[in-house]
Amino acid sequence: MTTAFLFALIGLGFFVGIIGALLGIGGALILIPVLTLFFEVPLEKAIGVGLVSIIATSSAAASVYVQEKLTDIRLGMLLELGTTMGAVFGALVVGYFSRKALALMLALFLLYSATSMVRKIRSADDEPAAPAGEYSIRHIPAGLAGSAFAGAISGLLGIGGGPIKVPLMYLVMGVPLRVATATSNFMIGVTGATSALIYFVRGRVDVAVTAPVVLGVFSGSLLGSKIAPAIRSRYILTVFSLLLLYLAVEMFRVGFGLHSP
Amino acid sequence: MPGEKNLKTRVWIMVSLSAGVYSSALLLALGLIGFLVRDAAAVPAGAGPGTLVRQTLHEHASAVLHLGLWLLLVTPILRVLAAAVGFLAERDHRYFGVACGVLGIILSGLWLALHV
Repeated sequence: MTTAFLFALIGLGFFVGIIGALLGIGGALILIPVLTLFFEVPLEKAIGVGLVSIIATSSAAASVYVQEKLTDIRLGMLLELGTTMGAVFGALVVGYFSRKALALMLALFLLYSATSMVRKIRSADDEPAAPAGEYSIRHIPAGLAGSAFAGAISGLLGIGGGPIKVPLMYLVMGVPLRVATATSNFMIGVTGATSALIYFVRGRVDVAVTAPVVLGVFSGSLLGSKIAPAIRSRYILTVFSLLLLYLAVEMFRVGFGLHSP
Repeated sequence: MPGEKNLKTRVWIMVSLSAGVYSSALLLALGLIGFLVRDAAAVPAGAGPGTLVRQTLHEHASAVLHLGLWLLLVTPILRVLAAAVGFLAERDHRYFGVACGVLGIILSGLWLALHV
């Protein structure tokens, strides 16, 4: 590996870390397709990098959320029963999927996330400024099932699953949005680690690529969390949703054999 | 509802998160510095501390990187363990059981990955 490539990976991780901190996401949604499309990292290895990177962003942000008492630790731990089971399943069966099939699944998720971002932009003014006081959690079995699905997606595609978990908690389980976001962030690291450990022992994590990316993600997350209050999320969300759409198109092309990274 | 009831658990989780994350970052930085240090010739006689540190970093760069990544992977597991201890300290046996269940699933996954 050349020094230039090493610093390019650190730079990519740094950018992903900042975006992740600003938008409260893991960043693997950008990281995995960019590694595949522009850094010529095989998709299977890029997924391994993504899983490790979401641990980094989740751990950096989660300590802030826990400190701010936004995280519902008990709910997060309960739903982890589902997500970890799903993550184990996803990580164990990923080898049975072809690269094109994984690319198509990732493209669909990128498209879904892009449309979620657009909805978020439109409803940004309607979000409650502070979490509600008391709330009661409902539909726990549905929450567990949805969490297991999110965990399986995470294990297969290397992403955090936040776009599934947050709506699940907010819309289905009756959890205030800010608490749902913080709790999802708390969960993502554990879900990611569950799959990443399996990927690691099976040799699907390229250390030479992962290490500089993760170091960049650490640094970017720290900076992103400092500058987040000064940045208008609406602009970031708009740019990010356009980026996700572009990456979705490119991954569809990979999936249909029209683009060989 | 998140709040003061979780205080001990919250503190232990924060400490385990911070310790794991920053230790991992330090090891990764050291490992990458080791890769960038390219003069891997034999250590000359009377070498100073700077040369010795450079040589050590370069020779062990790969191991340090692996160790850093392992530490990062284990940090969320430690987070669950810290939560379990916190729940036990708060005498919340139900959620202590839940946290133990999560740990069991993670370890089962690791066992399956190694043996299946």
